[in-house]
Amino acid sequence: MTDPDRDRPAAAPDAPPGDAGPGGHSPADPAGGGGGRREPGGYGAADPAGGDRGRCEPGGYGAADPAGGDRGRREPGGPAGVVAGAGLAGPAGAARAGGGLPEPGGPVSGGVVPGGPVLGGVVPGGQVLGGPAPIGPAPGGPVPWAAGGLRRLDARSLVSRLLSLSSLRQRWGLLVALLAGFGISGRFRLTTAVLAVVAVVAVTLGSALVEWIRFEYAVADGRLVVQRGLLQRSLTVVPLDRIRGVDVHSTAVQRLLGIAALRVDAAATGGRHDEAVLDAVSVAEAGRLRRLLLREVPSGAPPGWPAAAGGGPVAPGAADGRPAAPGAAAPGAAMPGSAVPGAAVPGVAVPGSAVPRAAMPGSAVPGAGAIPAPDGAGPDGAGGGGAGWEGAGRQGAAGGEGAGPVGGGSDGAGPDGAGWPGAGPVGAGPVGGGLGPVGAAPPDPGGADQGWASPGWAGAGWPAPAAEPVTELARLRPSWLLYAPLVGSYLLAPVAAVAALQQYLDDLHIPWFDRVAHAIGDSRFGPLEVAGLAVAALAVCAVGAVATAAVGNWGFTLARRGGSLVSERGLLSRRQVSLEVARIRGYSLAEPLSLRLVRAARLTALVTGLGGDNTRRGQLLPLGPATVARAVADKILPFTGELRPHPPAARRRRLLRATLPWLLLALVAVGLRWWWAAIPLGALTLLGVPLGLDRYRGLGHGLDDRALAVRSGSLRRHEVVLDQRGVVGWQVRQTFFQRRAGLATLTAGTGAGGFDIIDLAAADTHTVLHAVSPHQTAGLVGNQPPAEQTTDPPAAASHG
Amino acid sequence: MGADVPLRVPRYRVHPNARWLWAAEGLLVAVIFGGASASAWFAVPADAGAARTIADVLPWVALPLAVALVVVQPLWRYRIHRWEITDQVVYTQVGWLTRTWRIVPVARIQTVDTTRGPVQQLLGLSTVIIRTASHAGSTDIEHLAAGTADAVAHDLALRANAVRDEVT
Repeated sequence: MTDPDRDRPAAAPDAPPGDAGPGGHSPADPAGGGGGRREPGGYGAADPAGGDRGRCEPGGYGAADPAGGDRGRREPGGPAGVVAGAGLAGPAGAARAGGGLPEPGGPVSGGVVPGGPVLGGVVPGGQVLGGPAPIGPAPGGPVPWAAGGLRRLDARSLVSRLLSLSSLRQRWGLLVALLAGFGISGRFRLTTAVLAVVAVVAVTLGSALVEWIRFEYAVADGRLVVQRGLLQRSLTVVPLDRIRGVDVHSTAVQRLLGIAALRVDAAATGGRHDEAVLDAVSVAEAGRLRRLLLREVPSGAPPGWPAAAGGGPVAPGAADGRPAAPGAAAPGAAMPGSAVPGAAVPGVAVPGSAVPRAAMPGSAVPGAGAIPAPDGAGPDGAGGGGAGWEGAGRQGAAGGEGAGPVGGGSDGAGPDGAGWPGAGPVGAGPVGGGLGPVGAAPPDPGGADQGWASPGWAGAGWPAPAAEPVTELARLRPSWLLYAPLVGSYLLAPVAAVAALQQYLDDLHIPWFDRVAHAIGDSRFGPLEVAGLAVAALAVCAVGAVATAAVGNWGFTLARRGGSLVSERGLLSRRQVSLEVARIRGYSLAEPLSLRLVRAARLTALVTGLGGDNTRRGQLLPLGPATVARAVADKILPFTGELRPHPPAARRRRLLRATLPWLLLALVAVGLRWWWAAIPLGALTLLGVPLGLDRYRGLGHGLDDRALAVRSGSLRRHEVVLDQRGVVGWQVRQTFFQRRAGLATLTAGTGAGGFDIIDLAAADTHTVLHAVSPHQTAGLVGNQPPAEQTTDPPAAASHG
Repeated sequence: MGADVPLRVPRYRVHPNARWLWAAEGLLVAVIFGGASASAWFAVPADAGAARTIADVLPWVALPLAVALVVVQPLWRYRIHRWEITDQVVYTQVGWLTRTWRIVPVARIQTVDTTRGPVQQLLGLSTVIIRTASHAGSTDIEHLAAGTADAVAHDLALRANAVRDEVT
């Protein structure tokens, strides 16, 4: 089971002893852990057991896939199947629940069959519930992904695992316990302390090693397959067409090691957690996987997008309307690469650089077999190989000068050469290292630019295939970080840090800290001192906010690459997020009051299925002038219409809602003669007037032939522009008071969330519904009476 | 003054037994609130000032509230709650004081569930839960006769599959 061979013999049935074979799993758990759900087939027949909850999968999901077992993942299947996911009742799910799981070499029960047999129509519920009924015939042939070869994570990930903060945090308690144990017994010596540390390191390394050995992945036949675990084996199969985005993230340690963690986000789990995490693979492998998983097709740009090749790069300075200072125009010079101390990365064999570019056109997903196994360097590849890492500083300068179209690695593309004036110094030395294919093209800077710490991380660290056009859409200027104190989340970051630190110090019971804390708590300050302290605290918070924003967003770039929007940021740890353009439903332009004062904004993409992750992963411009944000937004989804204000009745409602609650509370306080409460409540009532008026000014909605725009809010104003095709369903809501005022709230539901058009004229719901969903709402809009008013629907009611 | 949303009324009412269920739900709230106000009336001493005043007023709020929740609410809701499935959309209208209409295209439906709570089972009711990729774009058809709900769910699942629109 610990056979390190990557290529398993395809048909070798080396199933583990406890493995329940395809047909061998016991019917003990027919429900597969799916709870009280019942098979859709049960709808026709009376279903005795699961009578309280049923589920139909209309999606025609094909044969139940084994991965569906515990995570509810579904296979896109044939046209007609109404089959519950394996997690509901499939035998494969049952097999997993039993702890067994087919080894990759062995025959697999009708699960991971590409285009698995779909049972037409409704699967009879009884049959599936009955236990190991065949959902699909088990293929005797080779398991699809075994042919592609299973790969391990990069061995260097062991080092990063050992040094990572999270593992330190995990083992911290153990270390403290060991030390405390020795300390209490009164025989504390340096040797015991060292022994304790060694023990903790050994435990960490051991568990990491076991994890590493038992973790394998492959991309083949349109799926990402991940299997892992020692005692509890788990197999994750993610169909590539369900993959929504790929994040590449690397901590500072991982950057030095030249590895990166890959997070795959797929549609099946409703965006609750990442589908698969590969922590970590080599930088080159991460780039290869990203392209494979996102199936990047250069020509796949949907209409309406600026042609990637033709679209000029966004020059922040120009869009800004301000003259670009020389220093600012080349922010690359101050980019992380050069800022990282000791940025000259130690020579590390980058396996992927052995892969000839030509073999990886972005247009075709290459079969896994077509790619030379890049892992030749093996665990001890560090230091060997010789594809050296050039000094980041030099590359930083080069990247800065190429700040226009940071083409990065797109060798074939024209702008690339121009963008890399320093191609000579950057490209020459390192490539000589004997990696044939790359060395064969000496003038190609891309070949050398596996440089992790390079500022043009986008292009440089992640070489793009030749045919893949890259267009830079935005680049954060360091001066924009000064907006950070105006954003609540950044301003509070230092406070949170202090709170965390305090708890940590409390745990340690450091005597001087307690004393200082007491001294502060006991002393009495005059009002002047309090004010001074407050100002000082605010200043510290402001500096901290800028620092936090810098660490998180330093060197932020946004680029369009093939069918994805790729953003990168981070000072110490670097994070690259790829969002599939096809899943972007629009954007949200956030202009909170504080940012409006300085005409700044933040821009976030609305991506279907990201859920709450939108703010974290969908960032298109974390901070910047509103003009720049709008320029970027126009490249995502141009909105040419105008926002229409809402009727005056809406102003009354905004005013009432901003003042009335405070006014009532104030009146109660006055009635009770609680003057201490009445005065601030009265002040809040008065403040509600400008607030309500500004909220009304914020209200608006607009339509053009492609987009729907919605704006609301004052302290937290958002302007959302949605692609009309992305609107899934509608909700109209009218409270008693809205009805009297002739208003209603219309909510456009999209896969990226619901967006309220607050208090529009009730009659205007017709306008919006008709413009966006003409066919769906044709028979519903208008005040005509229904055709018939039946109290008890006939059996055929649903055929309407 | 005032204007209705220009949406027509959906075709079908929910099952008449739904009124009993709503009454039961209203009763639950009424009992909790009534119990709280009664205990306040007994517990608060006479010399408690403002608190005593509140305790005196509470029962007079609780009584009409109970009547509204137990008697008015179910009858009112029964007039409002309606549903329909056209060839394109699932269309529902719910609420009493606040009304909500939902329009969910069949082509965007991802899952159709039916669910029956304990009280619903006593009354022979069932709820159809229709889910799309969007929470705001999803809807429930509450309190149908169990047989109707099953038929609706089955039919919707088949039709959603036939006209499925992969865009989410």
